[in-house]
Amino acid sequence: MKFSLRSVSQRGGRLATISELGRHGDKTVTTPMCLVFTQAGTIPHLTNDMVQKLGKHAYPVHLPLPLLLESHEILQKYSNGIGDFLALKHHLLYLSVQDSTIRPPEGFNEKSFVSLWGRSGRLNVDVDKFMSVQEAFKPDWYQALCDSDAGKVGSRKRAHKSVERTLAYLDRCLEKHKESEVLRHSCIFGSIEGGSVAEERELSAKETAKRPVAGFVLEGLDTNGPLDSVLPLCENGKKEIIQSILNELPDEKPRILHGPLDPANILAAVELGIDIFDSTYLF
Amino acid sequence: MSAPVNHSALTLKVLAECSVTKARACQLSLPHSVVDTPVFMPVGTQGSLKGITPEQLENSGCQIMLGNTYHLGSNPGAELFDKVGGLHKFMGWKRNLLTDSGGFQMVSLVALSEVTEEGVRFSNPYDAKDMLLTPEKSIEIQNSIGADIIMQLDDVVSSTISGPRVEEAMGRSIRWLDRCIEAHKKTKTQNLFAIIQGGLDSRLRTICLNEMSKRNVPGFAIGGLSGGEDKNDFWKMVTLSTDFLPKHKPRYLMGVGFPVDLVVCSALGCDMFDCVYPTRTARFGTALIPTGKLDLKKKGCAEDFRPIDENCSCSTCRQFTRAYLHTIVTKETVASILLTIHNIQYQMDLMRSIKEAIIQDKYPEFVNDFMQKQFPTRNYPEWTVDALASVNIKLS
Repeated sequence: MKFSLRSVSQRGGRLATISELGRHGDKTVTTPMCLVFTQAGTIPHLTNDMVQKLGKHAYPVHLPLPLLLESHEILQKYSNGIGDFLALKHHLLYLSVQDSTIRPPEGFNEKSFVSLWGRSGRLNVDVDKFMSVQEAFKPDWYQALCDSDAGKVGSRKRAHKSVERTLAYLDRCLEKHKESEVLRHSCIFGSIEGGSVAEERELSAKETAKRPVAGFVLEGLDTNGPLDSVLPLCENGKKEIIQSILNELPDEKPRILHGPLDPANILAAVELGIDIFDSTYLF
Repeated sequence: MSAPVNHSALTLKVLAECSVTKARACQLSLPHSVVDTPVFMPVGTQGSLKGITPEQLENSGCQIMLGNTYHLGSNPGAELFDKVGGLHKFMGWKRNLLTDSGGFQMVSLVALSEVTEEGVRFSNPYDAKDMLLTPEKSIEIQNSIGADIIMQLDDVVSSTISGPRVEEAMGRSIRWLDRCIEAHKKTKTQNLFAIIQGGLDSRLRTICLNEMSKRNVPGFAIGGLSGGEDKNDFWKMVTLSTDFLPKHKPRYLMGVGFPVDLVVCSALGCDMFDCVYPTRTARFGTALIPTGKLDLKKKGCAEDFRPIDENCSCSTCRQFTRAYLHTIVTKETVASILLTIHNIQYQMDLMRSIKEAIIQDKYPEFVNDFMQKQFPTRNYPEWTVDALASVNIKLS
């Protein structure tokens, strides 16, 4: 994937074009961009013929992993990938680790696995299982396994753990990604963790930036509720949190911020330098 | 000398009659479009088929659908339809509509209704307001809604009851028919159908048939059936009615039904049908297929990578596997929509093949073939054997 900045405004907002989208040939997308949210592989209430009416706005699709995880074995047998299974193969498919409409309880991630909450309850996912899922699903873009549970507000210890584990997961995912024939055309995104602790967030950003990832996902900001620690984004104190992360990230890679942002907050996030959003606000 | 101008809002052209049974294939011309019969009409009670857009319904080949006067009359109400210019405009449906009078709710909502000679009084469960539905009021609301076919208000009793109430209802339905005819203001654009009542009593049915066929209405419906009565009684009332009703006017069998019912009752001479079954069962995860039903919730579908029906051309079957549908059925709203689209297509395809078989005068073969697929062990329900035998089809 190629991220080309076309212009950067004085206040920090960026316009860019993303090309070289693997199996999608010459197609490109422009950022700031919104991913279309899905639930268990369907765009809520819309069948594909209705989705087509949204035209290019419905092109980039967000597939949160939790509600799809139960289909892992089926997809392995199916062998044509999740895009084909969902009749969405002509869309750009991005697979995230968590579902920002499901608030997972704290304290269920361990050193070697992350808990994802599906329909029948909790599923433990370690790097091996995670990468096996990616190979069965064959998404265009995916977020590397990450521990976004930063513990209680102010808890340095847990925040540090989330940073450390996430980097360890990322490194192992990158290793397996490199060896994988099936994922040759897929792109892997790294996640910035650290919760409410500034030093941990900066460490996470600095370290993740060193890895050969296609882009970055800002995570771990749901300290009390969806993006609770950073909303509203135009306020002092709140926007600094995002700014401090972005200062450590290279300009020439896209930044994703998940979660229900209303239009005012999206505009504020764009000005700070965020490129990609999801449409969970609608739900 | 010029041909007489036809002012009627309905014309029926019989294209073919089966040489063995009473089945006929016709072309029914209505104000909004032509309808091929036998026809199945899906039910969109409140002005839409749950989850389906008019465009999706059009794509299935559907030419006529139902709306319900009781529901639409209370919400959004006749006044709004007058302002908007009718239900067609309100819902964006360019083809035909048929409205039921609100009479059936007397049965389905019997706990909330009270019948007198004047009309039916309903207490509305949603806003606790009372509604008195008289024949005049029903026609008034139906005139506002603007459907191509409107139904008389009839006094409907459950088909499972017997006794003097049945005769009372039959007599009252005749009197209410006359009041409806009197009240109907839009005869040039809307066709008022009479509804034959009389329960499961052939004497009462015959009286009703005699009386109602004297009235000059564009079409007749066979009502008061398909309410849980014994099928052995049901078919006899259907065939009695089609024996008697004029051949040059359409026969609408209300509330029917399952695919087997459609095939058999077409043989008995019915032209039009309606039922909530295919759309309702879709929302519960069941797809209709040539051999009967497919329950997508069953574990057996989890790794089945075939479409619901390999020969179906609907958008669901063209894009999705049973395995995929199994993951979302009853859990995501899209599943309801996808299965509804399939089930409607199934019904449309079934009616088309019934029609084609009649036109080619091969209906008995078609019926045998259909029944063998539905009942591979040949354990045909007794009523189907008897009903088909009455029109000279012997099931092998």
